[in-house]
Amino acid sequence: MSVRYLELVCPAGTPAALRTAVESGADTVYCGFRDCTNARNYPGLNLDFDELREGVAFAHARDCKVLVAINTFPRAGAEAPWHRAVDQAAAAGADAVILADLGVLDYATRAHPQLRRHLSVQASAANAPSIRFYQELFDVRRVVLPRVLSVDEVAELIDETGIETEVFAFGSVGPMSEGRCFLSSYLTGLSPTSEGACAPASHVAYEEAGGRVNSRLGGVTLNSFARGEPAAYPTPCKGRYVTHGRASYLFEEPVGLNAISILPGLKQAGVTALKIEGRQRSRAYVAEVVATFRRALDALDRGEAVTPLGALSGSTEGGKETHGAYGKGWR
Amino acid sequence: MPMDTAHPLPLALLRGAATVMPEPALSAIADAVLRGLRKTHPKLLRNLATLDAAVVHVAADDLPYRFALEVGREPVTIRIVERNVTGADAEIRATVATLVDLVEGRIDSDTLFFRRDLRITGNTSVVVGLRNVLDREELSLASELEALCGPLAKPARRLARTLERVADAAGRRLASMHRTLHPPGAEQQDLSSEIDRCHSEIAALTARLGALESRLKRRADKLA
Repeated sequence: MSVRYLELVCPAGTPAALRTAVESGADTVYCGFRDCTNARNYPGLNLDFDELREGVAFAHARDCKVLVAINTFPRAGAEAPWHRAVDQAAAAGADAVILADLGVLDYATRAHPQLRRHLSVQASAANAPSIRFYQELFDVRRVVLPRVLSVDEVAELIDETGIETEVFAFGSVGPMSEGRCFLSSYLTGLSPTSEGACAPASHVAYEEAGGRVNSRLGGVTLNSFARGEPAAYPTPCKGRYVTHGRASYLFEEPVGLNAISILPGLKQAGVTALKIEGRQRSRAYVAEVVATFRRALDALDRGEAVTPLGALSGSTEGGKETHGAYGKGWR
Repeated sequence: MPMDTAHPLPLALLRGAATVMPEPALSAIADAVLRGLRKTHPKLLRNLATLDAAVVHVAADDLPYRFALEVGREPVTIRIVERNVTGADAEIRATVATLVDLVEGRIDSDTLFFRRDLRITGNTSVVVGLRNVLDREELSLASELEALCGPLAKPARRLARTLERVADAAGRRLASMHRTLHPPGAEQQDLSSEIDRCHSEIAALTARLGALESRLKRRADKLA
């Protein structure tokens, strides 16, 4: 296991968020184009080609790298937008592309061999043979690990493969089947892995009745919040379902992942980069979370005390934080 | 880059003026701000025009009016409408302070949503689009409003500061009165939540009772 500098990889859903992330202390920012080629395809979000080119220039002038997520899966016979996105990322001077689909990886490897390739969490590569496959075939240099591994398992994977790893440090708790979850497609008719949105805003509705707020996806009620109760995202995995006359969270509780208090363990495991999730969040969120992690990482480098959980609980879903699978005790 | 969490200069002016000014004058000011934004933030207006065509009502809890923003068309327009006007495709509700913080990018809308300090109903897609389009820009409503005042910007700024001080003092007095009337430990239960809980329990019990009645009826039919 090697001990190295932990790179802080931060979300940039808009050009303004990109500038905010860079100025708040990001080592690297990641962003996507304004279409279905990335997994955060929401109205008004993401960057066009000119904005990306300007963002790359802004970031590079401040020693910050830019990664472009092209991490959804093309529909059969309609791969042109994904190939165009890879070409534009290369033309804009991006430092790497984050890919998941085998065909898009193959295209990027052939058309832009000099462009660094990272494997998206959407590819769900969580074991050594799978990671080696992408290394050997597409010279993938970094893998973004799914949120299903404990810190010890992350360390073992790094030892076995020698690859750079990027792990989630702050954001959602995944449904343990990242890149393979189709729950929302049953309610919306849209694939989260091809359309780029798990709970597309076009299918989300909130209604107020009797002091409660009910959230629906595709006409199906997913949750009902009493007055003063923290709300959750309207995704099927965070829905509250009635069984035996009692409403409860069957898949996932509304709680946010925060690894800030286990950064020494992740560094010791040999992790290369920490990912802050949230391209769909505002630049106020980016400023707060990135600056907090920057301070925590700088303190870690100085050998100071670990930053405890709590400072960012206001920014997490449900107002609660967890280490998620990093500290899993069910195996 | 830490965000400035202080409330902007025009907040008191906006709240004070909106409370006492007639609707046509407020409409004219809102329209003038939009015209100003066309010059200072042309991309914002272009992006608003590309959203799904919709009328969005922005309803501040502490203002007697709502703002009716029409997006997804050229030109994007804004009008002042009465509080009780309905028929919008989507509605956004929060306090003036929260709405100004949102427009100026000082606060995260998802965090507000988790805390229930921001309520949205209707076409969620257009609300998400509006949030994202606004967050792309580094807006300052203070600058936009001051620009409208021209040579009177300095006196307007002084007036706004005075109004803000008066509003803050009044708020502190109200909070003090509230603490006197409701001392700690004597908090009343949230009656609405209790009623909601009872409704849910009654619905669950009714469902179970219905199932039991059906089962009994089936047994009775079999025995007969």
